[in-house]
Amino acid sequence: MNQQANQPSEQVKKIVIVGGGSSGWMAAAAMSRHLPSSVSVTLVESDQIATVGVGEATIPAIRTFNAGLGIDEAEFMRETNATFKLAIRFENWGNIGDAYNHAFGFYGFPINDVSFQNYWLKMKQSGLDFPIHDYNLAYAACDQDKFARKQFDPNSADSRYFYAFQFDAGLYAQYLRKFSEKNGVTRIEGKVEQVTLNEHDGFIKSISLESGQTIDGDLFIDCTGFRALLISEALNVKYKDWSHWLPVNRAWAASTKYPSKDSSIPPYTRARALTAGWQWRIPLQNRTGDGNVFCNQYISEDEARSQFIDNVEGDLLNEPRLIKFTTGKREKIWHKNCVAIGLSSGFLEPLESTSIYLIQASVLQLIRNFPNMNFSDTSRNEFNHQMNYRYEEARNFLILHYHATEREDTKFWKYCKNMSIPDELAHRMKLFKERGFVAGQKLDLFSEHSWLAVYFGQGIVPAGYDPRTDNVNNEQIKSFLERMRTDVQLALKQMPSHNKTLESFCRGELISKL
Amino acid sequence: MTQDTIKKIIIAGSGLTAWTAAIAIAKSFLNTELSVVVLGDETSHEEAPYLLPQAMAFHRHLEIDERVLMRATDATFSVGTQFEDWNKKGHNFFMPFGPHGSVTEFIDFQHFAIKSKLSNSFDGAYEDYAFATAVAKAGKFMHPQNDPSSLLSTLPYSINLNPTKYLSLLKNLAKQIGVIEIAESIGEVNLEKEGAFIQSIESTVGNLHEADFFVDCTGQAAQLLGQALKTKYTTWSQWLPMDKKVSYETTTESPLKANSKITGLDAGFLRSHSNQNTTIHEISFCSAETTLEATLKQLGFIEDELTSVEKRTFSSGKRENQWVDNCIAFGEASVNFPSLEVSKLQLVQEDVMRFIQLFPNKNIEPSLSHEYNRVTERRYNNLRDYLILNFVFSSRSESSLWQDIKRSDYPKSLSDKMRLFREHGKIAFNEDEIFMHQHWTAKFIGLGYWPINYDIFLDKFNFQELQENFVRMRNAIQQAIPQMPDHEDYLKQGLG
Ligand SMILES: Cc1cc2nc3c(=O)[nH]c(=O)nc-3n(C[C@H](O)[C@H](O)[C@H](O)COP(=O)(O)OP(=O)(O)OC[C@H]3O[C@@H](n4cnc5c(N)ncnc54)[C@H](O)[C@@H]3O)c2cc1C
Repeated sequence: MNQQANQPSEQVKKIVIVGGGSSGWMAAAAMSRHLPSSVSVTLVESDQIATVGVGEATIPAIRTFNAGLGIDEAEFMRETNATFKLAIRFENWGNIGDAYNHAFGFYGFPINDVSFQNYWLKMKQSGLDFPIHDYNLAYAACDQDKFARKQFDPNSADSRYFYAFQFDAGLYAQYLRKFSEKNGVTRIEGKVEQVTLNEHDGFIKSISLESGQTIDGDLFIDCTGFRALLISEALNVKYKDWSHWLPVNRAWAASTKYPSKDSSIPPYTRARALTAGWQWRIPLQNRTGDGNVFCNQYISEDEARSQFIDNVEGDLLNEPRLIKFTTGKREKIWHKNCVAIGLSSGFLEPLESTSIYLIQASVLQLIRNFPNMNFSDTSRNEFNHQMNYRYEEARNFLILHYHATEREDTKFWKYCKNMSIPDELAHRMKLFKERGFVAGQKLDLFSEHSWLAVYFGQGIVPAGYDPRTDNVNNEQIKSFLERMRTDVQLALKQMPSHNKTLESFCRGELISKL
Repeated sequence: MTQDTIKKIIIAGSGLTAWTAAIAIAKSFLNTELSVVVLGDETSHEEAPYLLPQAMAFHRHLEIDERVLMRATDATFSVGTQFEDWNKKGHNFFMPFGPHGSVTEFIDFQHFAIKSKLSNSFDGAYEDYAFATAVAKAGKFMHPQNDPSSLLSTLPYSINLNPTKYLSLLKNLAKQIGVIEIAESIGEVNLEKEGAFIQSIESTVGNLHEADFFVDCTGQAAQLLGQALKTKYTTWSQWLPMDKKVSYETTTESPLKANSKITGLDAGFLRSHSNQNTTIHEISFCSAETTLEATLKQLGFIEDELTSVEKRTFSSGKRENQWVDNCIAFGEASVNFPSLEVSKLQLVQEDVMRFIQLFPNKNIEPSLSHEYNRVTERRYNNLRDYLILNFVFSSRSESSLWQDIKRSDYPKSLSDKMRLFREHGKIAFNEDEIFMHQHWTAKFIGLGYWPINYDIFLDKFNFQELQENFVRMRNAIQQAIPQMPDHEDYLKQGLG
């Protein structure tokens, strides 16, 4: 029989969050919203150390997080200059000249419980040549800069999509700071200079600030970004390097102005593949965020900077900043009494905007597996297990983008195309190639339709499809498909422009002052 | 151009497993060129087909109307399982299919119960907070209602059927949709290459039956997957040592309750479930510890007085893979275990439906079997843990069976789950579980394994208000019961 704990444990009373970027304030907001008043939350941030200053595109799960806080969506969008995000637009990925949207929308409808793509594949083999993306409303909306704010409804052709946001990360942190302080979070400005560990168990006992102030805590949350002050510097938890799968390691980042006040704002993020990486463009209400992500083994920092400036559209509002990183993940995200959330826990790379999702997942998993003063390994193991799983799922999805390519025009792309990939991803790609089947974990990360978008978008065409499609005769399939396609066109016609929806829903103060 | 599809599939076997597979596959390919053949002649052993609520959806998929099904199979309704004399004589608890209490924001009900218990203010037993418990105990039943504000929306149910009648119903319906029955015994299994891919089955009367794909429903013998394709068996008997099964029938007694019953014995357990006319009993025991005679004596029976006694030997475990080359196994050919709350037939239904999602073409795409096998592995192992859990808190000392199980090293996945629950009242989340977290929770608590801590986030809520809410809920349960019809009457009216 196992050793059994028999006495109730003391509760955690004091949480100390170090770091005031997106991760610090997201953690503070959620903790303060749900924890009882017997637990205090203190957040320490330093004005001397800037936040990473990027991280502005999200995936639809962010709406669940905000809803959990009870945040009003229009207010939040106004305060953060947010726009709606329906997709990421990928250019030059499968091949130079290719373009596709990974939209947060569904492809067609299933027929007799068999997924849509199977019927489409069957019809394609017998000559039908409408692209599969014609059956995805969110995809089509992006091509016309349209957006309607709808609640997802799987049964109606005009609401089979989700949406996310593109926002100013600095403003989001400020917004959550207001929220958290209202809920009783104590904010302390100051630079942490020292971390003191208990001698007997190596747990973090306290942190000391430059000012001399010492702050004790029961549970420490490391949100210090790439510095990883607690989890790495103090506790020495190693980093698992995933650069062999995700080789990019540098980024130049800046912002640009819109040409005019009426410029059409696309409801999507752009990701253009270049020679040794890719360039992003994230449209906010008042400006865009731009950057060039690259691998310095294949292109120098200076070359990448000029490549960035050559490619950027619109006037730069600031000098490009260089950010260095290594893709990977902390071996343990929670170690002893320290949980790393945000960049301190790992960084995959920004291609599918998964970082903020991983922050929110960490916060929710921490709430779900909250420790007591016993700090036994049970909840920690469960947390680490759940987070590994999410990190790996996101990682595999990202690797797919680099690996499923025809490109061999540069050394970088040659490497990506030919590198060996994780077994899990290899198996899933094989399932899709052989049968058009999308296997996946039932997480709130990327749905079957997201995988379809990227598989098809990067040129993988399955050899087979579900044989149950033979239950429906080809004439019938054709007419079902035609109806789905025209329903998409009809819904698209009714859809307002993204600018118009923004105008009526959440136009921020800033733009009207411009 | 069209793809090369499977034209013929042979299902080897003749029992409920075979016909469940046959009808589900035939129904899913009704308007295609696929022909489904059931090949077998053994009058095979039929385990009592008690089912979980998921089975209702399975029958809807087959378009078998619930009333037709009930009438044809003498079925009764079930809202859960009563455990008696479990950890020791006199230890009873109820396992409802439906929920306990309700969720307070995102915090599960058990945390309220734990907190109350820690302050000695938990009123009644945990099971009293489940509507199904009261329904079963009072011998009531009626169909759940949609109104989410009504208690009656929280009553998932299932059915207990007469196996012989269920088999003939499935057979008839399957034949109506084109399934072909060949009543010949299985002889040689011919392979295409050395040790791989089945080409044909030769029956004992000398006929050769070829097909593109083969389904092994031959029970424990696993004539195709095990004997022909040499797929190894992983044993679970170190954790689940029962190895004998005996079944017999009695006449159903009044009042007929809407639940199954499992009773602990000195060296095993007895499972009973009722159809409208007969009640089927199944004893599982460990032959190293006791004899059938002694076990029956414990129940007050003498073997000769019982009707239709069937004896079998089994060993718990699973095949390493369920799908190999062009052959997949369902039922006991794929997995075996002592039948507590879940029957093998329940698993067959779910496994067949998962297979249909991954139904191969003639080239038998290798990625499909890989996907099927890895998900199956997770499902079976989770189920194995759930079954073992039933035996680990026993304080019976009549035989060393229960003590041996207690002393063995459980799979790590189970001991981790136990510790997490003990320390935090949480259920580790696994994909592909047959039993949801609320069932694990109810099982832990039913077995007397209470957590020592509750979720601190519960303290955000006014405890007294919560207590009042849950008292109201218990009262509402008690008040709803007299308004409900008796299960027995309901069956008579509903089917009349
Ligand atoms: C190039 C790039 C692009 C990205 N794009 C996206 C995207 O599109 N979508 C997305 O979801 N994510 C994106 N990310 C990730 C995203 O930026 C981060 O996940 C997010 O900003 C969270 O950062 P953070 O809060 O962990 O760290 P930071 O923003 O770096 O914050 C660190 C905080 O710690 C404090 N701190 C550090 N040291 C000390 C100390 N000694 N004492 C006191 N305080 C200290 C700092 O003051 C600061 O407040 C991107 C990242 C990069 C590098």
